[in-house]
Amino acid sequence: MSPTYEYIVAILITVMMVGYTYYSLTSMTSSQLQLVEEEQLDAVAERLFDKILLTQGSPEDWGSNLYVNNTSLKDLGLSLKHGGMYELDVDKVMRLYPGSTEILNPLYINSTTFGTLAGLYDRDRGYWKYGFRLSIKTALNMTIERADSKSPTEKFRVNVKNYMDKPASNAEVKGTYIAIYIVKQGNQEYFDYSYTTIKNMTDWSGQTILDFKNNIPSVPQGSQNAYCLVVTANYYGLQSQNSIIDNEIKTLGLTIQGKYLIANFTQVEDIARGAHHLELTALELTSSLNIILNPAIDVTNGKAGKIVNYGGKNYRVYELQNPPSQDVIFVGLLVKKLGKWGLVFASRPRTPVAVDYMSVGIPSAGIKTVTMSRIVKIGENSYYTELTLWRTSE
Amino acid sequence: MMAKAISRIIEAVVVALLILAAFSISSYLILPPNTPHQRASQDLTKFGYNLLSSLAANEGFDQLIYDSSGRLKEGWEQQLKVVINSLIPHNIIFNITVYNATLNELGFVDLKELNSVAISNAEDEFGRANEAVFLKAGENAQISYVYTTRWMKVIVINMKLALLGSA
Repeated sequence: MSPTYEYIVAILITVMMVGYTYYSLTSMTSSQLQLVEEEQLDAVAERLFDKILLTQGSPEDWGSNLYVNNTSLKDLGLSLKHGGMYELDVDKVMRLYPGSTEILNPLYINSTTFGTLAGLYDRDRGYWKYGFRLSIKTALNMTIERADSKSPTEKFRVNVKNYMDKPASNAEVKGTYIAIYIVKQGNQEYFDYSYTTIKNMTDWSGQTILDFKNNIPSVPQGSQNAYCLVVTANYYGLQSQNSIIDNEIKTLGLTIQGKYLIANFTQVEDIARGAHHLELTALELTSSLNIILNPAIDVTNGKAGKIVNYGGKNYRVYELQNPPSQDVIFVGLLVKKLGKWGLVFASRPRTPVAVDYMSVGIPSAGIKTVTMSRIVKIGENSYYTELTLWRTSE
Repeated sequence: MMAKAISRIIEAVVVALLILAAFSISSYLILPPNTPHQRASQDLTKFGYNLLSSLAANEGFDQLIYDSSGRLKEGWEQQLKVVINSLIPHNIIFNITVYNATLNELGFVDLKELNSVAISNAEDEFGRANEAVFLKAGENAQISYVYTTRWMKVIVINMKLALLGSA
């Protein structure tokens, strides 16, 4: 055989080998690239979720420190200082709530700051590398309804579902019925409370009735009073709390941020506007159902510090003399409107959805998303936390 | 001369084929480290521990397994199954075995199985945990959780989790 043919065959073999090597390497890397990218998204989500739930952020007291804002926050983590694993700081959680359409939360840490600190948002270029949604909701979703039309209500129907929206059967339900009253003695007025507690178990459908017929908390004769019921449900270790006010003042909203209470007028159709006269002693309820009375000081400009109405005094800001402790779940104020006394409550954190915090936009169709969930604690109560992460472009 | 040349070409072709075959086989075998599968099972493990520790934190296992005098409740296995089933996502299957841990005369830990029936949401027709479903599921995680009851009994909860549709 001529050496020319040998060379030709050798070159053909070399070209074939180089060509196939190029093809196989390209297909191998491109087929594995998808796996690597998917793995990276899982890893990023896991690291981010651990960072949110297991670290305290910087400064460590950024939740209660009112001087920390969107520009001075250095690192974000919701964990409670000196708390247990997966135990969150209620003040930090509250700072992820933007506020209502009427009252914006002045302490709100926006998602762009969060995204920048977590490496999800490129502030220089102004775009999100990863989109996210963080939700924190009560582990048990509890609804309380009045089961009679008496005043004060004697029977309440409680329905308990777990975070998977399944009925929480055999859950222990404890109701604490609280009466708050004002008694006049000469020119002096004093503020006090009494309460009764009963327990029951939910049936297969997660429902139970709390009947206070013979257990209505007593109030002094001739006193001005208002009632509220605080219900604690415990489903084999998962605990949540909710409340219902018997004489609720629907035209007044109450929000708590740090040590400040913000009372604002809320327009409700078919309900007379009227002025609201507020009793400036806040009633605080802890997750173990202890009751604390905490004086509130008006820090809004203006003289009529106790009045909120439709018009010039449509909101008031009150500073609580003692900042609420971590286990305070409800803060209430006694209010008189059109001669009748009632209550307004602010919950801490908000129930049933404490946080629904997300980047701009939603994942478009076909984009891989990663969702992770954990059960966390705030005070004595359990919350279900879910993080969804996606790439904004693939 | 001619025969030598032909054999050289055949040799070269065989070597080339061997190299190409090696590339082809390796492309199917090579997987990057920490594949999504490993990641998924890592998260499954964390999820399992988180769930068990949440129930343990407020004496949930005491309420589920033991009565007020510290004896095993009748039908506790079913109750535990209902509770766990209601707390995990629909695409996760589980199989739980609960052991009572005691020290024997030699100082070693003896584990005695407490549940007489399967505590699982993937049972076969005989009421046993269906291992085939776990094998087919792909992603599996095994969690062991040690819990001391309020009556100072030590129980070991072995929970096997599998993510359906991850194979």
